[in-house]
Amino acid sequence: MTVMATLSLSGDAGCHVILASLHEKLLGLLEPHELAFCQILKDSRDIPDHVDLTLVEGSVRTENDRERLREARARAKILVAIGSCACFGGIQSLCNFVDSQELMKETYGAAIAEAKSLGKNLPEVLPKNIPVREIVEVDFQIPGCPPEPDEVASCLGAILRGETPQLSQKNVCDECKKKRGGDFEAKIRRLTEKPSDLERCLLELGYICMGPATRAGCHAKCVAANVPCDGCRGPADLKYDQGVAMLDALIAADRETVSTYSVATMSAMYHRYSFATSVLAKLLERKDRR
Amino acid sequence: MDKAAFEPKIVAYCCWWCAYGAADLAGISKLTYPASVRIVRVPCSGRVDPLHVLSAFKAGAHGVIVAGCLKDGGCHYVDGNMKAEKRVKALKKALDSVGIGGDRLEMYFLSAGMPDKFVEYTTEFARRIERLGPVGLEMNRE
Repeated sequence: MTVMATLSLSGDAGCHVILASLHEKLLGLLEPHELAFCQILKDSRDIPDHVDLTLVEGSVRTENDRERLREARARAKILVAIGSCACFGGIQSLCNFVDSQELMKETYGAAIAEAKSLGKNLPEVLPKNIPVREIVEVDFQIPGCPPEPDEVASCLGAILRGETPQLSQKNVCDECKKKRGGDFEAKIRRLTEKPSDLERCLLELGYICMGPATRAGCHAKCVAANVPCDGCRGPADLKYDQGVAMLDALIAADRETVSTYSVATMSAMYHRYSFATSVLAKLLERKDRR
Repeated sequence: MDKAAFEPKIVAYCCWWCAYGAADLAGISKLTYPASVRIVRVPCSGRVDPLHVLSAFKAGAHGVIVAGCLKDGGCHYVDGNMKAEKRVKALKKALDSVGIGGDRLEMYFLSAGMPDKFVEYTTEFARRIERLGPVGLEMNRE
């Protein structure tokens, strides 16, 4: 019997909702096992001292997150990062290129002194938003924002059987049903513009569709609904940098203008979910001034 | 930081067929080029991915050279050098917005029989990097 726990750090608990959305399937999966701690499904106070499998959702933003994560790692035999926040830092890591003090000023404006006095008992915010694997060792990663329920079920099943979970090694484009012509329209379009041809590849029509740089497994749902892929599942292989791969794809497609964008635009466009782990973030941190 | 103490680190991605040949011949001919240039041999300049260039900067390089075969049919793989040129052109702009500066990346075209040109280009580039100094990141925000 495997004792399981789930932990929620800074994030929106969406991955927990995905876990709950497995419905009866979850009961089947958990049949001989025990879910010892899960804030969304069970009324228990804390993670037990010895757990076989812990699923961690969310990224590390506060000191509290960091402590809880370290504690969870010490108590768990296997630790799985679930969701793009835990794997790559998620959307909230887009604030990483802004100083956290500046961020406070931007958020609270004139009320900053009041906010600070009211929040003096709250855990300290770390200067950066950090993905789980930069704090503790992670055994497996299940990316996605949110992850696909079927994929969560199959990965969880594999881990509970003692196997290594298999994720797709392909790109979203491999699963996409849109037709590709081979020529690219010169104009770059915004999300708000309606596609002129609903059958055709969105990248060719001029939308910045992250399909070529994103891991498959989602059956290209967003693209099928005529919304460009925003890359929530991270790179197809963790060796690659998602945003740089996308930049390369766009340069190859004669979209050189994309490289003239500011850091804010580039990070939000190509690194929307993976900025914390990106080369771009590391380059911005580089300071030679001694 | 003391300017005299600054020793730049330059990574040069040289294609096997031309630029690396030129560097090799420069060595055989006992020509000297700056010691700050570290050569990485690649099969073709078209193989140099933006990630290679950015990783070099991430690892602490002050300048990156991409050197390939001569234009207009000089490339052993037909058009690898032209692809590299396109990438370098775009990456220079990206480096500008990241705050590293596009001046720190350059593409050169050589044939295997041009050791003197190799020396000339690398010396010129190393001087430029020395003049620019260490990377001081000024963020370019909207």
